[in-house]
Amino acid sequence: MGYKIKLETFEGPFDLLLHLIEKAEVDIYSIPIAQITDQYLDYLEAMKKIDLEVTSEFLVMAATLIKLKSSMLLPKLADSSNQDLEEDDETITNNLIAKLAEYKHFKEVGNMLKEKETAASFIYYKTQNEHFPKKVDLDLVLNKISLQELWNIFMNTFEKTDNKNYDVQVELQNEEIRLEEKMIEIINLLTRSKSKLIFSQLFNNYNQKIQIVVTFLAVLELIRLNKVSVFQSVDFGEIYLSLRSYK
Amino acid sequence: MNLKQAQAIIEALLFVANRSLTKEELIKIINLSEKEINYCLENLKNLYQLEQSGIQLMEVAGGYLLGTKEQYAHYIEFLLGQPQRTNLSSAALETLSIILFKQPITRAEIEEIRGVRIEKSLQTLLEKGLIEEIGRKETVGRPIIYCTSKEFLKYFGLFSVDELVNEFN
Repeated sequence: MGYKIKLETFEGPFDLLLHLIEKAEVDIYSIPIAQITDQYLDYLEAMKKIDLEVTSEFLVMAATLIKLKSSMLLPKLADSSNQDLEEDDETITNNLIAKLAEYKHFKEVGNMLKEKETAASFIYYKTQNEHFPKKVDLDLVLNKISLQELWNIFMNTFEKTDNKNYDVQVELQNEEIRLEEKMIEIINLLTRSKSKLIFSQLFNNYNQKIQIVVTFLAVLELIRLNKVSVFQSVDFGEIYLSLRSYK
Repeated sequence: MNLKQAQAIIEALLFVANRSLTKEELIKIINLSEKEINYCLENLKNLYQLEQSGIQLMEVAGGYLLGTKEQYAHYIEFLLGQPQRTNLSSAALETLSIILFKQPITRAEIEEIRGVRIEKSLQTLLEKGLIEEIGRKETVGRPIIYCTSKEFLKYFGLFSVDELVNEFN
Protein backbone atom coordinates (compact mmCIF):
# COMPACT_ATOMS: atom_id res chain seq x y z
CA MET A 1 0.00 0.00 0.00
CA GLY A 2 1.34 3.36 -0.95
CA TYR A 3 0.95 6.39 1.22
CA LYS A 4 -1.79 8.83 0.56
CA ILE A 5 -1.30 12.45 -0.27
CA LYS A 6 -4.17 14.81 -0.09
CA LEU A 7 -4.42 16.20 -3.57
CA GLU A 8 -6.99 18.57 -4.85
CA THR A 9 -8.72 17.37 -7.95
CA PHE A 10 -9.22 19.61 -10.92
CA GLU A 11 -11.75 19.59 -13.67
CA GLY A 12 -9.11 19.82 -16.35
CA PRO A 13 -5.91 21.57 -17.37
CA PHE A 14 -7.51 25.02 -17.33
CA ASP A 15 -8.86 24.44 -13.86
CA LEU A 16 -5.45 23.42 -12.58
CA LEU A 17 -3.72 26.30 -14.30
CA LEU A 18 -6.20 28.77 -12.90
CA HIS A 19 -5.65 27.37 -9.43
CA LEU A 20 -1.87 27.78 -9.74
CA ILE A 21 -2.24 31.32 -11.00
CA GLU A 22 -4.53 32.23 -8.13
CA LYS A 23 -2.12 30.67 -5.69
CA ALA A 24 0.70 32.75 -7.16
CA GLU A 25 -1.51 35.79 -6.64
CA VAL A 26 -0.99 37.16 -10.11
CA ASP A 27 -3.62 38.01 -12.62
CA ILE A 28 -4.09 35.82 -15.65
CA TYR A 29 -2.80 38.49 -18.02
CA SER A 30 0.69 38.38 -16.53
CA ILE A 31 1.38 34.73 -15.87
CA PRO A 32 4.90 33.92 -14.66
CA ILE A 33 5.25 31.14 -17.23
CA ALA A 34 8.42 29.54 -15.84
CA GLN A 35 7.15 29.29 -12.29
CA ILE A 36 3.69 28.12 -13.28
CA THR A 37 5.09 25.53 -15.66
CA ASP A 38 7.21 23.99 -12.89
CA GLN A 39 4.27 23.85 -10.51
CA TYR A 40 2.06 22.41 -13.21
CA LEU A 41 4.55 19.61 -13.88
CA ASP A 42 4.95 18.98 -10.14
CA TYR A 43 1.24 18.49 -9.91
CA LEU A 44 1.22 15.99 -12.76
CA GLU A 45 4.00 14.08 -10.97
CA ALA A 46 1.94 14.00 -7.81
CA MET A 47 -1.05 12.77 -9.78
CA LYS A 48 0.99 9.88 -11.13
CA LYS A 49 2.24 9.00 -7.67
CA ILE A 50 -1.24 8.48 -6.35
CA ASP A 51 -2.29 6.63 -9.47
CA LEU A 52 -4.55 9.33 -10.74
CA GLU A 53 -4.86 9.04 -14.45
CA VAL A 54 -3.09 11.90 -16.15
CA THR A 55 -5.30 12.36 -19.14
CA SER A 56 -4.08 13.55 -22.49
CA GLU A 57 -5.63 16.97 -21.99
CA PHE A 58 -3.28 17.60 -19.06
CA LEU A 59 -0.34 16.48 -21.17
CA VAL A 60 -1.19 18.75 -24.09
CA MET A 61 -1.25 21.71 -21.73
CA ALA A 62 2.07 20.60 -20.21
CA ALA A 63 3.61 20.51 -23.68
CA THR A 64 2.34 23.99 -24.45
CA LEU A 65 3.72 25.37 -21.20
CA ILE A 66 7.11 23.71 -21.69
CA LYS A 67 7.34 25.12 -25.18
CA LEU A 68 6.60 28.62 -23.92
CA LYS A 69 9.02 28.28 -21.05
CA SER A 70 11.86 26.96 -23.18
CA SER A 71 11.55 29.66 -25.78
CA MET A 72 11.61 32.25 -23.02
CA LEU A 73 14.93 30.84 -21.83
CA LEU A 74 16.49 31.09 -25.26
CA PRO A 75 18.32 34.33 -25.93
CA LYS A 76 16.39 36.57 -28.20
CA LEU A 77 18.15 37.15 -31.49
CA ALA A 78 17.95 40.35 -33.38
CA ASP A 79 17.97 38.23 -36.47
CA SER A 80 14.76 38.67 -38.41
CA SER A 81 14.50 34.96 -39.18
CA ASN A 82 13.47 34.38 -35.59
CA GLN A 83 10.73 36.97 -35.78
CA ASP A 84 8.15 34.46 -36.89
CA LEU A 85 8.94 32.08 -34.08
CA GLU A 86 8.61 34.76 -31.46
CA GLU A 87 5.37 35.97 -32.86
CA ASP A 88 4.19 32.41 -32.83
CA ASP A 89 4.92 32.13 -29.13
CA GLU A 90 3.16 35.38 -28.53
CA THR A 91 0.07 34.04 -30.29
CA ILE A 92 0.19 30.86 -28.25
CA THR A 93 0.44 32.84 -25.02
CA ASN A 94 -2.35 35.17 -26.03
CA ASN A 95 -4.59 32.27 -27.03
CA LEU A 96 -3.86 30.58 -23.75
CA ILE A 97 -4.71 33.69 -21.78
CA ALA A 98 -7.89 34.25 -23.76
CA LYS A 99 -8.98 30.68 -23.15
CA LEU A 100 -8.12 30.90 -19.47
CA ALA A 101 -10.10 34.10 -19.12
CA GLU A 102 -13.08 32.52 -20.82
CA TYR A 103 -12.80 29.39 -18.70
CA LYS A 104 -12.54 31.47 -15.56
CA HIS A 105 -15.73 33.27 -16.47
CA PHE A 106 -17.66 30.04 -16.89
CA LYS A 107 -16.25 28.64 -13.68
CA GLU A 108 -17.62 31.69 -11.90
CA VAL A 109 -20.99 31.25 -13.58
CA GLY A 110 -20.89 27.62 -12.44
CA ASN A 111 -20.27 28.69 -8.84
CA MET A 112 -23.13 31.13 -9.04
CA LEU A 113 -25.40 28.38 -10.40
CA LYS A 114 -24.34 26.19 -7.51
CA GLU A 115 -25.56 28.82 -5.04
CA LYS A 116 -28.83 29.15 -6.91
CA GLU A 117 -29.18 25.39 -7.00
CA THR A 118 -28.87 25.18 -3.23
CA ALA A 119 -31.26 28.07 -2.67
CA ALA A 120 -33.85 26.60 -5.05
CA SER A 121 -33.62 23.17 -3.46
CA PHE A 122 -35.43 24.47 -0.38
CA ILE A 123 -38.50 25.40 -2.35
CA TYR A 124 -41.03 22.70 -3.11
CA TYR A 125 -43.49 22.69 -5.95
CA LYS A 126 -46.49 20.63 -6.85
CA THR A 127 -45.15 17.71 -8.81
CA GLN A 128 -47.93 16.18 -10.82
CA ASN A 129 -51.49 16.56 -11.93
CA GLU A 130 -52.88 13.07 -11.95
CA HIS A 131 -56.42 13.63 -13.08
CA PHE A 132 -56.14 15.52 -16.28
CA PRO A 133 -55.19 14.20 -19.66
CA LYS A 134 -52.61 16.32 -21.39
CA LYS A 135 -54.34 19.08 -23.25
CA VAL A 136 -53.24 19.36 -26.82
CA ASP A 137 -52.56 22.86 -27.99
CA LEU A 138 -54.02 22.82 -31.48
CA ASP A 139 -52.44 26.13 -32.40
CA LEU A 140 -49.08 24.62 -31.65
CA VAL A 141 -49.71 21.34 -33.44
CA LEU A 142 -51.21 22.95 -36.53
CA ASN A 143 -48.72 25.78 -36.56
CA LYS A 144 -51.12 28.42 -37.91
CA ILE A 145 -52.52 26.27 -40.70
CA SER A 146 -56.13 27.18 -41.39
CA LEU A 147 -58.89 24.62 -41.68
CA GLN A 148 -59.16 25.36 -45.41
CA GLU A 149 -55.46 24.72 -45.91
CA LEU A 150 -55.68 21.53 -43.92
CA TRP A 151 -58.57 20.39 -46.12
CA ASN A 152 -56.55 21.17 -49.26
CA ILE A 153 -53.58 19.23 -48.00
CA PHE A 154 -55.81 16.32 -47.16
CA MET A 155 -57.46 16.33 -50.58
CA ASN A 156 -54.13 16.59 -52.38
CA THR A 157 -52.76 13.64 -50.50
CA PHE A 158 -55.92 11.73 -51.11
CA GLU A 159 -55.80 12.32 -54.85
CA LYS A 160 -52.15 11.43 -55.04
CA THR A 161 -52.56 8.09 -53.32
CA ASP A 162 -55.38 6.97 -55.53
CA ASN A 163 -56.46 8.57 -58.78
CA LYS A 164 -59.24 6.10 -59.42
CA ASN A 165 -62.84 7.10 -59.47
CA TYR A 166 -64.40 6.71 -56.07
CA ASP A 167 -67.86 6.05 -57.42
CA VAL A 168 -66.80 2.80 -58.98
CA GLN A 169 -67.27 -0.09 -56.69
CA VAL A 170 -64.23 -2.22 -56.58
CA GLU A 171 -64.33 -5.75 -55.53
CA LEU A 172 -61.26 -6.68 -53.64
CA GLN A 173 -59.81 -9.95 -54.64
CA ASN A 174 -57.63 -11.95 -52.45
CA GLU A 175 -55.02 -12.57 -55.04
CA GLU A 176 -52.65 -15.25 -54.11
CA ILE A 177 -49.18 -14.89 -55.43
CA ARG A 178 -46.81 -17.69 -54.93
CA LEU A 179 -43.15 -17.14 -54.48
CA GLU A 180 -42.31 -20.18 -56.60
CA GLU A 181 -44.39 -18.91 -59.51
CA LYS A 182 -42.79 -15.53 -59.30
CA MET A 183 -39.33 -17.08 -59.34
CA ILE A 184 -40.15 -19.07 -62.45
CA GLU A 185 -41.58 -15.95 -64.04
CA ILE A 186 -38.37 -14.03 -63.42
CA ILE A 187 -36.24 -16.88 -64.76
CA ASN A 188 -38.43 -16.97 -67.87
CA LEU A 189 -38.12 -13.27 -68.36
CA LEU A 190 -34.36 -13.49 -68.08
CA THR A 191 -34.18 -16.44 -70.45
CA ARG A 192 -36.29 -14.65 -73.01
CA SER A 193 -34.32 -11.43 -72.85
CA LYS A 194 -31.10 -13.45 -73.27
CA SER A 195 -29.19 -10.77 -71.42
CA LYS A 196 -29.49 -8.65 -68.33
CA LEU A 197 -32.65 -7.12 -66.96
CA ILE A 198 -32.96 -3.87 -65.10
CA PHE A 199 -34.11 -4.59 -61.58
CA SER A 200 -36.55 -1.70 -61.29
CA GLN A 201 -38.33 -2.75 -64.49
CA LEU A 202 -39.43 -5.93 -62.77
CA PHE A 203 -41.86 -3.84 -60.82
CA ASN A 204 -43.27 -1.78 -63.67
CA ASN A 205 -46.48 -3.70 -64.07
CA TYR A 206 -47.29 -4.08 -60.44
CA ASN A 207 -49.15 -1.73 -58.23
CA GLN A 208 -50.21 -4.00 -55.44
CA LYS A 209 -47.94 -3.96 -52.47
CA ILE A 210 -48.03 -7.72 -52.08
CA GLN A 211 -46.91 -8.24 -55.68
CA ILE A 212 -43.95 -5.94 -55.21
CA VAL A 213 -43.00 -7.67 -52.00
CA VAL A 214 -43.23 -11.15 -53.49
CA THR A 215 -41.25 -10.10 -56.57
CA PHE A 216 -38.54 -8.71 -54.36
CA LEU A 217 -38.49 -11.86 -52.25
CA ALA A 218 -38.29 -13.95 -55.40
CA VAL A 219 -35.22 -12.02 -56.53
CA LEU A 220 -33.58 -12.52 -53.17
CA GLU A 221 -34.37 -16.21 -53.25
CA LEU A 222 -32.94 -16.59 -56.75
CA ILE A 223 -29.76 -14.86 -55.64
CA ARG A 224 -29.51 -17.17 -52.66
CA LEU A 225 -29.95 -20.20 -54.87
CA ASN A 226 -27.20 -18.91 -57.12
CA LYS A 227 -29.49 -18.82 -60.14
CA VAL A 228 -29.26 -15.13 -60.69
CA SER A 229 -26.54 -12.61 -60.15
CA VAL A 230 -26.93 -8.90 -59.60
CA PHE A 231 -24.60 -6.03 -60.14
CA GLN A 232 -24.58 -2.29 -60.04
CA SER A 233 -22.16 -0.05 -61.91
CA VAL A 234 -22.51 3.12 -59.85
CA ASP A 235 -23.72 3.83 -56.34
CA PHE A 236 -27.49 4.33 -56.27
CA GLY A 237 -27.58 3.48 -59.97
CA GLU A 238 -29.63 0.82 -61.67
CA ILE A 239 -29.23 -2.73 -60.51
CA TYR A 240 -28.98 -5.37 -63.23
CA LEU A 241 -30.01 -8.99 -63.05
CA SER A 242 -28.62 -11.77 -65.16
CA LEU A 243 -28.87 -15.52 -65.24
CA ARG A 244 -25.90 -17.33 -63.76
CA SER A 245 -25.80 -19.91 -66.52
CA TYR A 246 -25.26 -17.20 -69.12
CA LYS A 247 -22.04 -16.09 -67.56
CA MET B 1 -66.15 39.70 -12.88
CA ASN B 2 -64.52 41.90 -10.32
CA LEU B 3 -60.83 41.90 -9.57
CA LYS B 4 -61.25 40.02 -6.31
CA GLN B 5 -62.82 37.14 -8.19
CA ALA B 6 -60.11 37.29 -10.81
CA GLN B 7 -57.49 37.08 -8.11
CA ALA B 8 -59.26 34.06 -6.64
CA ILE B 9 -59.34 32.37 -10.04
CA ILE B 10 -55.65 33.01 -10.60
CA GLU B 11 -54.91 31.56 -7.17
CA ALA B 12 -56.98 28.46 -8.02
CA LEU B 13 -55.18 28.03 -11.34
CA LEU B 14 -51.77 28.42 -9.76
CA PHE B 15 -52.76 25.97 -7.06
CA VAL B 16 -53.45 23.12 -9.49
CA ALA B 17 -50.69 23.88 -11.98
CA ASN B 18 -47.54 21.82 -11.82
CA ARG B 19 -45.66 24.13 -14.14
CA SER B 20 -45.30 27.87 -14.35
CA LEU B 21 -48.23 29.64 -15.98
CA THR B 22 -47.43 32.51 -18.27
CA LYS B 23 -49.18 35.84 -18.12
CA GLU B 24 -50.50 35.17 -21.63
CA GLU B 25 -52.12 31.95 -20.47
CA LEU B 26 -53.80 33.68 -17.56
CA ILE B 27 -55.07 36.45 -19.82
CA LYS B 28 -56.47 33.87 -22.23
CA ILE B 29 -58.26 31.91 -19.51
CA ILE B 30 -59.61 34.80 -17.44
CA ASN B 31 -60.14 37.26 -20.26
CA LEU B 32 -58.93 40.36 -18.49
CA SER B 33 -56.38 42.95 -19.53
CA GLU B 34 -52.71 42.52 -18.76
CA LYS B 35 -52.91 45.45 -16.39
CA GLU B 36 -55.68 43.82 -14.40
CA ILE B 37 -53.87 40.48 -14.31
CA ASN B 38 -50.73 42.23 -13.12
CA TYR B 39 -52.71 43.88 -10.38
CA CYS B 40 -54.10 40.52 -9.22
CA LEU B 41 -50.68 38.85 -9.30
CA GLU B 42 -49.17 41.67 -7.32
CA ASN B 43 -51.94 41.38 -4.74
CA LEU B 44 -51.49 37.64 -4.46
CA LYS B 45 -47.77 38.04 -4.07
CA ASN B 46 -48.23 40.47 -1.21
CA LEU B 47 -50.79 38.21 0.40
CA TYR B 48 -48.38 35.29 0.43
CA GLN B 49 -45.61 37.44 1.80
CA LEU B 50 -47.53 37.69 5.04
CA GLU B 51 -46.02 35.74 7.85
CA GLN B 52 -49.00 33.43 8.22
CA SER B 53 -48.57 32.09 4.70
CA GLY B 54 -46.26 29.16 3.93
CA ILE B 55 -46.48 29.69 0.19
CA GLN B 56 -44.77 32.13 -2.11
CA LEU B 57 -45.56 33.26 -5.61
CA MET B 58 -42.49 32.53 -7.71
CA GLU B 59 -41.62 34.10 -11.01
CA VAL B 60 -40.02 31.11 -12.67
CA ALA B 61 -39.44 29.86 -16.20
CA GLY B 62 -41.23 32.71 -17.92
CA GLY B 63 -44.30 32.53 -15.74
CA TYR B 64 -45.81 32.17 -12.29
CA LEU B 65 -45.69 29.21 -9.99
CA LEU B 66 -46.57 28.56 -6.38
CA GLY B 67 -43.78 27.22 -4.23
CA THR B 68 -43.31 26.70 -0.55
CA LYS B 69 -41.24 29.12 1.48
CA GLU B 70 -37.61 28.15 1.97
CA GLN B 71 -37.72 28.33 5.74
CA TYR B 72 -40.28 25.53 5.93
CA ALA B 73 -38.35 23.03 3.80
CA HIS B 74 -37.40 21.11 6.91
CA TYR B 75 -41.04 20.39 7.79
CA ILE B 76 -41.91 19.39 4.26
CA GLU B 77 -39.03 16.94 4.25
CA PHE B 78 -40.35 15.54 7.48
CA LEU B 79 -43.61 14.81 5.68
CA LEU B 80 -42.26 13.67 2.31
CA GLY B 81 -39.01 12.18 3.47
CA GLN B 82 -35.53 13.50 2.88
CA PRO B 83 -35.00 14.34 -0.75
CA GLN B 84 -32.06 12.86 -2.52
CA ARG B 85 -30.15 16.08 -2.80
CA THR B 86 -27.91 15.08 -5.63
CA ASN B 87 -26.34 18.38 -6.40
CA LEU B 88 -24.68 18.80 -9.74
CA SER B 89 -20.94 18.19 -9.87
CA SER B 90 -18.72 21.15 -10.63
CA ALA B 91 -17.96 19.53 -14.00
CA ALA B 92 -21.67 19.47 -14.81
CA LEU B 93 -22.09 23.04 -13.58
CA GLU B 94 -19.23 24.25 -15.76
CA THR B 95 -20.71 22.53 -18.78
CA LEU B 96 -24.12 23.97 -18.00
CA SER B 97 -22.70 27.48 -17.62
CA ILE B 98 -21.16 27.29 -21.06
CA ILE B 99 -24.39 26.04 -22.63
CA LEU B 100 -26.29 28.77 -20.81
CA PHE B 101 -24.19 31.55 -22.29
CA LYS B 102 -23.34 30.12 -25.67
CA GLN B 103 -26.49 28.28 -26.64
CA PRO B 104 -27.15 26.78 -29.10
CA ILE B 105 -23.81 25.01 -28.89
CA THR B 106 -22.27 21.69 -29.92
CA ARG B 107 -20.37 19.26 -27.73
CA ALA B 108 -17.06 19.98 -29.47
CA GLU B 109 -17.48 23.71 -28.86
CA ILE B 110 -18.04 23.12 -25.14
CA GLU B 111 -15.05 20.80 -24.95
CA GLU B 112 -12.92 23.46 -26.58
CA ILE B 113 -13.76 25.88 -23.78
CA ARG B 114 -13.52 23.44 -20.89
CA GLY B 115 -10.37 21.78 -22.22
CA VAL B 116 -11.67 18.31 -21.33
CA ARG B 117 -14.06 15.71 -22.66
CA ILE B 118 -17.59 16.28 -21.43
CA GLU B 119 -19.64 13.18 -22.36
CA LYS B 120 -20.42 12.36 -18.75
CA SER B 121 -21.59 15.76 -17.64
CA LEU B 122 -23.59 16.16 -20.85
CA GLN B 123 -25.29 12.86 -20.11
CA THR B 124 -26.13 13.90 -16.55
CA LEU B 125 -27.60 17.19 -17.72
CA LEU B 126 -29.69 15.44 -20.37
CA GLU B 127 -30.95 12.87 -17.87
CA LYS B 128 -31.97 15.59 -15.46
CA GLY B 129 -33.74 17.37 -18.29
CA LEU B 130 -31.75 20.55 -17.72
CA ILE B 131 -30.61 20.70 -21.33
CA GLU B 132 -32.20 19.61 -24.59
CA GLU B 133 -31.04 18.58 -27.99
CA ILE B 134 -32.67 21.04 -30.32
CA GLY B 135 -31.33 19.92 -33.67
CA ARG B 136 -28.16 19.62 -35.64
CA LYS B 137 -25.68 22.18 -36.81
CA GLU B 138 -25.35 22.37 -40.58
CA THR B 139 -21.63 21.79 -40.65
CA VAL B 140 -19.43 18.78 -41.29
CA GLY B 141 -20.71 15.81 -39.32
CA ARG B 142 -23.95 17.61 -38.47
CA PRO B 143 -23.25 17.65 -34.71
CA ILE B 144 -26.11 17.83 -32.21
CA ILE B 145 -26.75 21.27 -30.75
CA TYR B 146 -27.78 21.79 -27.14
CA CYS B 147 -29.82 24.41 -25.31
CA THR B 148 -30.98 24.86 -21.74
CA SER B 149 -34.53 23.69 -21.06
CA LYS B 150 -37.53 25.09 -19.19
CA GLU B 151 -36.73 22.59 -16.44
CA PHE B 152 -33.35 24.31 -16.13
CA LEU B 153 -35.07 27.58 -15.22
CA LYS B 154 -37.31 25.83 -12.71
CA TYR B 155 -34.44 23.87 -11.19
CA PHE B 156 -32.46 27.02 -10.48
CA GLY B 157 -35.49 29.19 -9.73
CA LEU B 158 -34.87 31.53 -12.65
CA PHE B 159 -37.30 33.55 -14.70
CA SER B 160 -35.42 33.61 -17.98
CA VAL B 161 -32.03 32.90 -19.51
CA ASP B 162 -31.64 36.55 -20.50
CA GLU B 163 -32.20 37.74 -16.95
CA LEU B 164 -29.35 35.56 -15.73
CA VAL B 165 -27.00 36.34 -18.58
CA ASN B 166 -27.57 40.07 -18.08
CA GLU B 167 -26.65 39.70 -14.43
CA PHE B 168 -23.16 38.87 -15.66
CA ASN B 169 -22.76 41.64 -18.18
